[in-house]
Amino acid sequence: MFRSRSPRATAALVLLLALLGVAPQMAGSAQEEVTLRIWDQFTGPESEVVDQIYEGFAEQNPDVTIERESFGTDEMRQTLNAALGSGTGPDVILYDPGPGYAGILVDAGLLRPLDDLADQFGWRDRIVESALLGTTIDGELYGLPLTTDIIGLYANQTLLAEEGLQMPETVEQLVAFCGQASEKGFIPIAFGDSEGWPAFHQFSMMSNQTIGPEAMRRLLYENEGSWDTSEIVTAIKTFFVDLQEAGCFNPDVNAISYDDANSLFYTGQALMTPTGSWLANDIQENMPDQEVSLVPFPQIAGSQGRVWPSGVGSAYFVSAQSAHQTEAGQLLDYLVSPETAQRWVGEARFFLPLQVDTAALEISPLSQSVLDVLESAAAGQTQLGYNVDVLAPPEFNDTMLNGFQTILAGDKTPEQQAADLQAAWEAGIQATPAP
Amino acid sequence: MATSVAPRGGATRAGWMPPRLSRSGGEIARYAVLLAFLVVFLLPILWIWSSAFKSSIEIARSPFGLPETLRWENLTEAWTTGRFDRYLWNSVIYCTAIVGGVVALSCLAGYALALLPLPARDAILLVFLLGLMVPFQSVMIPLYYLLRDLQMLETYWAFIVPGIALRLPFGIFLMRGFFRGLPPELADAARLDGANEWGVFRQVMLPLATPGLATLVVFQFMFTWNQFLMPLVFVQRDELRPVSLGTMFFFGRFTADRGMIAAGVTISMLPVVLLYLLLQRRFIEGITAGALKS
Amino acid sequence: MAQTGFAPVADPARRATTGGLSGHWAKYRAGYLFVLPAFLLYAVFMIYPFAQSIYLSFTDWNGVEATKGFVGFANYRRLAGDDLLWSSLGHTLIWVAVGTIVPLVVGLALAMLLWRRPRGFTLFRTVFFMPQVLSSVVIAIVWGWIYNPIFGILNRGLDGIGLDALSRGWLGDPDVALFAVLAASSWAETGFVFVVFLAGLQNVSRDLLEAAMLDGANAWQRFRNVTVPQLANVVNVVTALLLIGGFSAFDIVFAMTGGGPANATELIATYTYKEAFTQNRIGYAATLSLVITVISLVASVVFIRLRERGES
Repeated sequence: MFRSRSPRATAALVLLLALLGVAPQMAGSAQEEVTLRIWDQFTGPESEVVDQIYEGFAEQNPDVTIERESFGTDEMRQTLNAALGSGTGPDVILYDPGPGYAGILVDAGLLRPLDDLADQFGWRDRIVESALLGTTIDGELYGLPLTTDIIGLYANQTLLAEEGLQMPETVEQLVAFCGQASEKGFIPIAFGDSEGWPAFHQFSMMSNQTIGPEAMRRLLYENEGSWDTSEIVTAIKTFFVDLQEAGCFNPDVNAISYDDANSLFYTGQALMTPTGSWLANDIQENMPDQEVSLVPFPQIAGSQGRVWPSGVGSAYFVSAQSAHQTEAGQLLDYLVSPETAQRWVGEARFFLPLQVDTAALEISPLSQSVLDVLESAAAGQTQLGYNVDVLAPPEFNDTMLNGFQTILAGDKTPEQQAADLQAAWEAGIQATPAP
Repeated sequence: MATSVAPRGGATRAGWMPPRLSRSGGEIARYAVLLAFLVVFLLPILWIWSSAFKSSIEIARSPFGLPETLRWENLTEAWTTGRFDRYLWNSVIYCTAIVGGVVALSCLAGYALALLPLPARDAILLVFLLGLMVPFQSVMIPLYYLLRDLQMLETYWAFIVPGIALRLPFGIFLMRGFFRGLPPELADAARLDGANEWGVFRQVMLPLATPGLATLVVFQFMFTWNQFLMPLVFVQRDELRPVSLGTMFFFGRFTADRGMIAAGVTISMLPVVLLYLLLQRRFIEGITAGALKS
Repeated sequence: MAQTGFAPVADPARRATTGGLSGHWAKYRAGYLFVLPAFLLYAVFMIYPFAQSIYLSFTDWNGVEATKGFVGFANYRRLAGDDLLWSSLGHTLIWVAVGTIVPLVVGLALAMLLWRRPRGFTLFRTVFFMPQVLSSVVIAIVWGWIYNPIFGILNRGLDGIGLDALSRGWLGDPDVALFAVLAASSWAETGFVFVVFLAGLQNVSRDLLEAAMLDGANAWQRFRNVTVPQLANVVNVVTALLLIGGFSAFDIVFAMTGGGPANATELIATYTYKEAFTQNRIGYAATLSLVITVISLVASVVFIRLRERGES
């Protein structure tokens, strides 16, 4: 009916037809060659090692091609739902476990349970039980735990020694420390909360201290107890009100991103930064000639004692709609095999919830200190606390996110926040059962 | 002197001009304000361009200064690691297809709604008018699932097809406005000469509507190139992302490396800015013509 | 321009040689065929999804289940008690109001200043319009950096000229964040308004202005009594475009703050996106999207009515 009207229209038509021809190819996968698409969040210096690790699997399985894409945390959380729901998204993802993250995907039926694979490959023999518990939702195993985190306070020991400052052991000493550090022109503690989730880890540290790990475990796993207690209020107040008023943080906490705060620590403008063991690799890459240590957060007066909150940091999940379930399963097993585990620990400097033979590996003092804590915990000598956000429902995490930012802005009291947390917890528990 | 207007103001060849301020103080004030705004409008852009040549440390240390050395590595890194070559090419594909589609369909429909007999003309116009007022959020969710069911989400069509469909109301009203401004006698004369309707459209009326066409192309190109929400929702694969989305994900991946970010942002800006500088007149004429015709 | 109808001889309707349906078809064939492609595409990808949106708003679908649970008006009842919705609406209203007035005023002022085409006119016009061609993502990143308390140039600039009392964490302060994002958005929108006014000013009637000048009216009086009324049409168009765009504003807020800090910059469009694509609450998100639609429609209708009244 329509003859081509102009060269431009013809060109456009030809282009469209060409795309039409290309489109079907993109929509499906070829018969024998399998392409596994992996989405992860490794964007730092470890990214190259991760590439090599995936390569290793491709070498062992020549008919599998790996397509990898890495995202920043927020972008991942924003787009993962839609991508998995489209039925054409990634096959394997590295994501945060817990009702607030992977739990949402499980509720939407987007992830595949892994119990059968765990039995088939014998994961339960190799992987620490508490880690597997951390990726179990509604009684089924959904995630293969990769990294185990502990959260504490990093301190630049080199600078502390240079400036003649003592490492504080209690919050009281910490406040004094902040005054001294500020006078010398340093930022005592680098803390950026513009994304909102860094506050989760601070809250974990404080609340595990004030109510103790055992009470925390009962609260998170068995819904025994309440968030609306004076201990929780103390926890919130100590960090988000008292320390801020004491001038311990950089100004404009809500306007500074996590990465910006870290860079303050890397460049020596800040003496300490409170975050998790996942940053150990970045720290060593960015501060090669400084001695950095990771210690539990100083003791709050009257608390149950200094403690390391811990949790499964990230886990591998499989899309329920993936066309390559077998290959995905094999990939997962490869990723926690003893050889690969050595590479994770030795080269990428991650901490895995597995027994890893580290004799032949080059481990820095900082990483060794973390491994020591984990080993001690596995041996039952140290009790670890519980990182809250990976075990709490999404409503709770939302309240944490908004509430702590509002407290930092001076518009909310710790008491209000504690009450809101309890309300959000109850609402979330009704929607989804506790882990 | 660049201007040759009568100092007292009044009618001139360039149109009516207000009188020149007699005190030079007024002139100075005018220029002061204009220059202040010039700085406000220009500084952010110049800053990001100069930052593209600095290392992250230098950006933090001396944000206002000129780069010490021209670090071209930022740009080449961003281009390859940031996959901007891919994103720019995708944007070209999307813009060509969507602008082409919108222009083609809007011309046809706009012409018909302006000059051809149609029994339900007013009803059809109303339906398209509603589309102008319905925001994207109202349809994006069902559209997502529709595209999924049609298996289009993995392809370029995921953005092209809704991209065209949702801009049709705007294009149709624009082209209809232009066609209505044409004398119908020309069409009648062509018909008298024996041309069929298609011939009348193609040979007679369409060439006359070229200013309208140009306007639509400019509007649509700018809009589509910078479109963000629609590709965010519908384009799931990185290989198919347009440059607007690619920039955002690039930013998420490399937040710490400010030099790279600045380079990436500069790259994503460059095509449109260059196009704008070259075709400035066209851009501005198109925008004003379109706005005034509405 | 009014359609006066076709000249009798060339009237395609007259070409119909038979009456009835085939005559009807022959008369309207061209019209139908020309409109068909556009209408078809539009019907499938706009009308149908919109109808579906209305249907979804009565369900509690999460996007994956095979069956969509019908819940009647539950989603609508939820609207009333949803605090986040009301604060988002409030923010959206502020966004629409400020985001319309500021570009309007500044754009007009700049156009007036350049009316005389002083030296450097082309340079000024080029620069003032340039931000319009940038994508929201680029604007968000650039201005996000400008506002950064550590290495951004705004705080450094303020400190440099002695106004360091004003420097703060712009995008981290819930009281200020929305306006900071608005400033970035207006930075881009003003250019559009500016060029439209520039063109509109060319059409201001010279006779009336000359007459006013001869009558001894000063600049302000000329502005108020002659220029402004003549610009009324342009003001209407620009305001309408800014208003409608404002209610569904999404891109720049999403890219700059994602709705934070503490939902201080949450607009109804960003809230809708999150409900749909992060929380998988499709039914409620559809309800929210209809809220946006209704508000836009009402605003458009009110605006058209006011304009008609103004013209009469």
